[in-house]
Amino acid sequence: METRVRAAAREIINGLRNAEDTQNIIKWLEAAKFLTRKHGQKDENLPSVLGQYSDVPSLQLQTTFQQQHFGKLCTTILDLLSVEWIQKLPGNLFSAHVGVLFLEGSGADALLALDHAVQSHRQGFKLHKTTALLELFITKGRLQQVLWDQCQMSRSDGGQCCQALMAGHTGLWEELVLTLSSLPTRMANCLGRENSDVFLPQNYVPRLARSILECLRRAHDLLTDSKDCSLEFVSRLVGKLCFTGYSDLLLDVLVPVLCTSVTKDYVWCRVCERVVTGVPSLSMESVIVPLLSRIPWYKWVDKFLGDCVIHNQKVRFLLCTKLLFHRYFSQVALLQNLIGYLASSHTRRHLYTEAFCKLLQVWGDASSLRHVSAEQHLFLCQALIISISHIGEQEKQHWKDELIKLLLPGVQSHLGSTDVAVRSRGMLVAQLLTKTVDPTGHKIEFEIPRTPEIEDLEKLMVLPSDPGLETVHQAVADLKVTDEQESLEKEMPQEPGNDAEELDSDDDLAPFDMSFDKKVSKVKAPKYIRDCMEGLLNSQEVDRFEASLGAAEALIRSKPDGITEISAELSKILLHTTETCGVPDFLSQRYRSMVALAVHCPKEVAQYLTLQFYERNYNIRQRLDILEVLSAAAQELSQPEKPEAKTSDHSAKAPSKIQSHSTHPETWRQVVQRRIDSKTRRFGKGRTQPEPVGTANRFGDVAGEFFYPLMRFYDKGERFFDLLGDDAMVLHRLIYTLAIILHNAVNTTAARQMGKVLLEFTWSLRMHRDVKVRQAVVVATSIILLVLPAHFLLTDLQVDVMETKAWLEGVVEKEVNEECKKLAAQGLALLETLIAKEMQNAVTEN
Amino acid sequence: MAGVVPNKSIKTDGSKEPLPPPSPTYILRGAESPVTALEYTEPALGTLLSGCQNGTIHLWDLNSRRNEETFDAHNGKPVLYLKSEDASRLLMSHGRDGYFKFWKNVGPEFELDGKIEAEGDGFCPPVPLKQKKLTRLIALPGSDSVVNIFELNSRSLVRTLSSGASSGELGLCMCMCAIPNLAGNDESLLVGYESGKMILWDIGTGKIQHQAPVHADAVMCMAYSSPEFNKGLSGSVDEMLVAWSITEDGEIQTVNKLESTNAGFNDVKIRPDDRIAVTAGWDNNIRVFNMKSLRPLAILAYHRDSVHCVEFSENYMLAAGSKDHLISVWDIYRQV
Repeated sequence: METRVRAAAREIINGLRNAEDTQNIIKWLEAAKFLTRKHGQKDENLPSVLGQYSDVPSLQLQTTFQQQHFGKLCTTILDLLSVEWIQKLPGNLFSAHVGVLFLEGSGADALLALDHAVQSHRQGFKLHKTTALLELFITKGRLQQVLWDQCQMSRSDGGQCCQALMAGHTGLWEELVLTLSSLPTRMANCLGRENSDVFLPQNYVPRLARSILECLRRAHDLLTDSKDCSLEFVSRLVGKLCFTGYSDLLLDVLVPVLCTSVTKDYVWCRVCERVVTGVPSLSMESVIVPLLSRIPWYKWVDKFLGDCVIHNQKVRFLLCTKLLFHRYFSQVALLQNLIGYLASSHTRRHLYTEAFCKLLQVWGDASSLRHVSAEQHLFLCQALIISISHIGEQEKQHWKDELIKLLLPGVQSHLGSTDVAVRSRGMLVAQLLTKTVDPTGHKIEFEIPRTPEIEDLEKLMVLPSDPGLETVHQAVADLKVTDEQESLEKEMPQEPGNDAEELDSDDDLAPFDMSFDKKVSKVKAPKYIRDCMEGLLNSQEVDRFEASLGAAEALIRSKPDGITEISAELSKILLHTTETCGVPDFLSQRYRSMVALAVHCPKEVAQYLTLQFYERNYNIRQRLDILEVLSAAAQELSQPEKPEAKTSDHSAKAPSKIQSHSTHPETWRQVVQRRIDSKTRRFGKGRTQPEPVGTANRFGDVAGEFFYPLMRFYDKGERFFDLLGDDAMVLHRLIYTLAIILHNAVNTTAARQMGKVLLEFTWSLRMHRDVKVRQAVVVATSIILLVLPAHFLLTDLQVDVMETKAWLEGVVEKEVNEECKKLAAQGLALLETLIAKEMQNAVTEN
Repeated sequence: MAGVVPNKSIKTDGSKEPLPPPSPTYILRGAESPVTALEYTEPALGTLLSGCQNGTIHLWDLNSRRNEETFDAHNGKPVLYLKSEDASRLLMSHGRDGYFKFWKNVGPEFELDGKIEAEGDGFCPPVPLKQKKLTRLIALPGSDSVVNIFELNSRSLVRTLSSGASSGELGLCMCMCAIPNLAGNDESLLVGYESGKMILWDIGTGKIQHQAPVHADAVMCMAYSSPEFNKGLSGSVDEMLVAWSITEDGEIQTVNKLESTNAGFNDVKIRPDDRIAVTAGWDNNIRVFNMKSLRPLAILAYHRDSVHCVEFSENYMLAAGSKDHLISVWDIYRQV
């Protein structure tokens, strides 16, 4: 019987191919239409052309034709589409016969045929017509039919030869999934600029998503009627779409609607779970990650995922290992959903505790702390804090010792870090964990600097509450509204300022300058530098100390007699003052005074400070202060002094002042002269500003005093101060300071030697284990390249420079820290331009 | 587009440079001790009276800017109050020796013309009160928190204002001001106490009309505008100046609080036209405020020690007496 149907199909196809005139074409199309009809419309008779097949029951004829021969028919028709052929079907005859055929027949076959036709035709009239048909196909909602047909398939086939059919389906499904997921890309490739809006991903994918939803709704209805259906095709499609990068467009439509359904009905949960867990393992990650970041509340996650993390080894690896330890995300929602999902059911609870301990272990590991990137470290901290917030009473008792044991080495390694952000995150995690796990025991209390990041982290301790379904809908609605509102708000003019200001503006009492209004202190500011020193020594007399500190900078800058003799003494006093009495601006005032002193007596102060840098009994803060003061003083010294500015200002202002204040009537000469001036154009008035006066570089003579002593004992490694050991923080500041001093010594005779020494000094530190030190070395190298003359670098230091180049290339390739990489790339670019220029110069000279 | 125009006007306002800080018109030198009280005589006479911490009263000629006359009035005790009347032929003064004294101008010199014993020796200057029936009353601080009302002509005690509470609760009476009534009825008396409380007394009945804890510490000074403007200012030992008003029901209502840079106020005066108010501060500065917006307008910095008292003349010249023995005279916001 199948052979009979095949014969009929062949006859129709041949008939269409050979039909010469409109009558014949329509005849054969009518026959094809009859065969593609839905079963059950029995009132119609067999068309005359198919008269010889009247022995076959028409129902069977139609079914077999649709299953096996419709695709071939579609391909044939699409092949025939030429200008001449179309001309034979004038007006609406084309859409009435051909269009209907595509819209009513089997969706999958029609879609595949259309897709193939678009791919093979490439251009011309056929492409145009095919695209129009495809557009019609999509806009008429046929995609939904395609999906639903696949869901039903396994059911309708019943038990017979299921295996073989399934195998056939898999082939078909693969083709269909590929076609459906790649349609926007392919159409864009074919049509280029003439692409239709329908095929743009932002229109096509949501349309497809709505079709998927509709399909799921039908499946749900079937399931509630205790009937069977297969969702495997939908799973595959979702997986493929997410894998190809349409996850945002797709899930933005799916998730809000599914959230609503899932909270209402258990069957919906099963449907969703089936779809998500049925995704091929290859694309599992690309589905789960965007899904997790979109679900609004962590307790809804298991409605989508079910308990698949228990059964499915792949999912478990993905959720418990890959997402937590190998990847990082900026959305906190994802982490909250992930950990909340693990912690929110007793069946998954052991996974949560396992993950928690593992997180803490990784977080606390000193070597991982060194190699992890800043973003991932933040991610780990977020994960830990969310885990802390989920811990229950029983677990607290059970895991207390274990957790604290894991925490302590972590705290130590975090506190030793050179990065402020890492330190404060470490402190926060430690504080929160001890407070939560052991509220009665020893508490770890830190003074954590309040940054926005820390505040955000603290907020994670509060478990998110049920946002309610209204918010989900609201969010969907908002997305659409906000764009319009924003544009509206921009156009609206700003409301005029508040009423109080306007009241004031019409008041005729103009205020006087009140900028001199300062807090008065009871003690007079010292007038002599020695009084000031005495005041600074008496830190018990708070008022006097404060006044002395406030006056110190101005006093030093006024260059009193004999300041050189006492400069070392005064530096010592300033360096040793500590903030005991809460003087406002203490640090900045002390710093400015020390810089002023170092600028006015560079030799003495630099000798003293550099000597003290390696002395015992200083804390890290003081050593860092020394470095900061030296670099700031170097910077100021290298700038030319500007005493002339005052006098020139004065001379410029003086005449206008006299004019405005003189009460005498102007003489007629002045009046005439002014009129002439106002009407005369003058060319070439000469310089409007006086020529800049050259001054000697004050830094050139003393640069060495700032520079060399700082490197004296760096490798000594004393018990109280071990630069190459624990004091990496000071070391990286030291390298920066040396670089700054070198930078400020640019164009001086000492610079060459200094640069050479610094290059040697940093050579041994290039592979230092601390990121900050490596970064400082990269910066210092760049500065050496900037400061030293190119010909000197490429002749005297050629070997070193080439080695540096190789090293910088290595850093750009292998370094973990992004910032470091970027700096190295800049340094490398600098070096390369340097070499290129020097080569060019050499060529032109020759 | 209507919103654009006011925006522009604000901008031009904002870009205006503030005036440079003002300097005093002239300085009166010659007092041997801190100046504690000031009084302008009628402008035609062109004289200024000042009282000192050592009890002397100086008479200054504002044309020659010289000291004309000096006499010891209060036995070496600080002068708290000066009031000249009847074209300077009559002078009243109050000092910390506890006497309210009447002086008659005979020729160049002043002659004592009787006195009232006020019992108290606190810091509170007296306040004259206008009544319908008894035209001339004076409120004098008594011992502790008591205020005595005397009739000026007969120099006899007519009423005693005492809260009845233990004296420790209110503390000393620190300052007073008369609150005129819009309807032209009897004036009430507002008294500020050491505890920071302010009490509004009804003179006719001698009863408390209203009381409010306006300050946290002693009320150092207060002033009240015209009843039409209905705004008063009071200062304490801290940075806060409190603006208050008297409601129709005769209650003290805090309107606003102004924070100054430095703590402590010795005196506050509101110019009779209610445009500006000036304060004498412990920080050596005189501060000028806009009465309407209660915003600072100017800081008059000249004195090198705490300013004790400020006073406006009838033509709005401002005089300030300071602990540094100087009297500064300022010409500020007179044209407007």
